[in-house]
Amino acid sequence: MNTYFRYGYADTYFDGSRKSDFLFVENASYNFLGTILTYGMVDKLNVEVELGYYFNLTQNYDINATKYTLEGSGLRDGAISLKYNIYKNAPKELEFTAGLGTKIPFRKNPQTVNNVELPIDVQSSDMAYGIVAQTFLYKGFIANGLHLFLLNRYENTFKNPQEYRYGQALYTSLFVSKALTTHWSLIIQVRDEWREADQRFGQSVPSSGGNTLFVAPQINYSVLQKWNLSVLADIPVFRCYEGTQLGPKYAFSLQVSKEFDFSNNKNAENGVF
Amino acid sequence: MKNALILSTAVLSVIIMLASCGSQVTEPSTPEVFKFDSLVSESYEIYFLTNPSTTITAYTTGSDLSYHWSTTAGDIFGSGKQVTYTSNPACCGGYQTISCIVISKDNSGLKKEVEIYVDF
Repeated sequence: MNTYFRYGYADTYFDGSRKSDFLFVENASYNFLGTILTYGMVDKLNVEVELGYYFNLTQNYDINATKYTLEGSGLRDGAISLKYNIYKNAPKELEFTAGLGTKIPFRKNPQTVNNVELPIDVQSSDMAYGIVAQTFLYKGFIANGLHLFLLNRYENTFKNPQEYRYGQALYTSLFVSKALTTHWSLIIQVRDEWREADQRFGQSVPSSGGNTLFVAPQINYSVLQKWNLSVLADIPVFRCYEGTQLGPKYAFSLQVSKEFDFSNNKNAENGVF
Repeated sequence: MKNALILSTAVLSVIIMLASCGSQVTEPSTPEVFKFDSLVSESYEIYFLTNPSTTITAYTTGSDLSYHWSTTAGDIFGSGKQVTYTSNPACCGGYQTISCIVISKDNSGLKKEVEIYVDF
């Protein structure tokens, strides 16, 4: 089980890779609580469920010197995946796992406040089903207290009833984890997010899609070898957007994870992340 | 003197009684007709650099009405019979449709739309 709280903030528009003077949304922020539950079904096969809730998705506008605020909230689309440990070589500390799943919307119609439909950017749900595919490659150097992880996640969301389709997304993350002490470890994540342009009524939405490179340092504290507590910062270091877009400035997460050993044999053989 | 006083009081009471009886007779009321007369925008073209927003008003007849607003793209501020509409031309320019559905207390609804052109 992995549960995390995340806060994100944005207040600057970017035109391609350069900062822009464009001003429409003065700033935007969100507070999100997510959980990932992974259960070992049989040897080498896990089922994973992702759930999350936005306490708020807020946009503050500055339109012709007049301030407005729009705020949404609610369940994010869930996901359920099957993951299979394709290769594991314990002496070589090498492991490869692949997973395939589906995104499940908890909402089919846009959220409204006082009978006024909120814009797409503050909707908590994509309001559409989708496909999620993941790969995980692990290489350990336990003698040096070093662990390397390479994660790839692909998402393809279908068109929703409002004729809006979020673009495909590919997230590639490289984690380097180094044990500092028995309890403390430092993790550095470098992550690239590529997004295809969205579509509305079959037409590409201008100023959507692009590439963002993040660096996310993380401190982890392990308790009793069962609980892990983490704090991490998500910092974009490079971006290349299509058109002019509001870009993320930073995000912070607090994370708690725990392994529940219902069956000693099952978890020992499973070997799936 | 005393008899005159009693007589005048009785006559006065009868007059008052007849007047109040007359005022309690009420005409049958005509139910207010629900009509959605028009949906009007202050401007049908908005330009980000000069007039980036417009006020849209629903003109209706009736009581206990609820106003439901949506758009093909853009942002709607406010609620009720009058709202403010804007849109980011960088992503959501061109012709956009703003819809208003007015629903009466007996759940009958009427819908009207306006089209707004959005550009820089």
